[in-house]
Amino acid sequence: MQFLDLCVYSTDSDGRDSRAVLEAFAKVLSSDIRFCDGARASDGLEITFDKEKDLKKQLKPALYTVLEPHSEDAASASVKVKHAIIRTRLNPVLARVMAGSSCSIELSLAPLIGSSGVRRTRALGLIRTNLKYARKYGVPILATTGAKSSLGLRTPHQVYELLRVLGLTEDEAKSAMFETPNNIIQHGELAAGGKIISETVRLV
Amino acid sequence: MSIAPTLRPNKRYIAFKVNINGAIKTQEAVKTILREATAFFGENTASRFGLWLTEFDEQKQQGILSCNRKYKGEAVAALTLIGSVGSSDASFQVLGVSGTIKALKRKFLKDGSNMSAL
Repeated sequence: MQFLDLCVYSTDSDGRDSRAVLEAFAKVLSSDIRFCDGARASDGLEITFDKEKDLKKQLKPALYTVLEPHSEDAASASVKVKHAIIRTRLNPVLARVMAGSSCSIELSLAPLIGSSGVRRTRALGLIRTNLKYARKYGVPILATTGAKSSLGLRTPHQVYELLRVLGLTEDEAKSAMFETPNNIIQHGELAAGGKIISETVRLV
Repeated sequence: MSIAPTLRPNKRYIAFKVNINGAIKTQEAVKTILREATAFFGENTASRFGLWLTEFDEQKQQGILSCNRKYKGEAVAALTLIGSVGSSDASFQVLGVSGTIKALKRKFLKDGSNMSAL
């Protein structure tokens, strides 16, 4: 079983461990990680925003983009960024547009790990809603740990079992752990290498 | 009088390692696992898992958790959700799952564990 985690924070952003420590620990856990610090060309870029204007200001070329919109208007603006990973509560309108622009919905395990009570209940509710609409409209699901230290990372087996408990099927869980993130990375690499001219034309 | 082998509940044994700055004691490990399972799944469901800390090595911070075979996934999920022990950040890393303690030790705890049966 493989797990490609696209949302790990190092000391380059608000993480507590260095890249070397996180990479070494991920190797011990047999999982593959990518940083969304935006500090290097191989990183993903994470953007938190309230208005479309703020999104435009912060956008820059990156291997992949993680968007966290904080309002309904911002959410509808985020789907304009094709192939983005979006962290929000889905609704039917948004889900339909996301599927059309090849965006993925993030299923982050960070709000569940080490929390309890209201915070965890809300996180579980969000996951259930997103799962329902993602299934209905065919939005790819992406599992991430959102780890800010090495203790936030988990083995592929553990992530798989947790996803199964959260209601994903075997195929959905495996796809969320590896296929979807791998497709995002591959698309990002092609785009960065100038091999994608437009959404429909690729250099071979 | 012993129970016939066919009537005994089937178990799975989960080898795990505690990643933490410092060390935790056996009782803390037991409390943390049971608290997490109960908090996430509820008392009624968690009682069906048959969770039991079979062995724990306080030096290596490794242990063997036994559970009902039907609820192996839930037991692993409960370990996954642990984010702290007391006030320290921690994670429970699942090393592997097996049907017998002997096989579990051979496959996942090779370096001669010094575990004591509880």
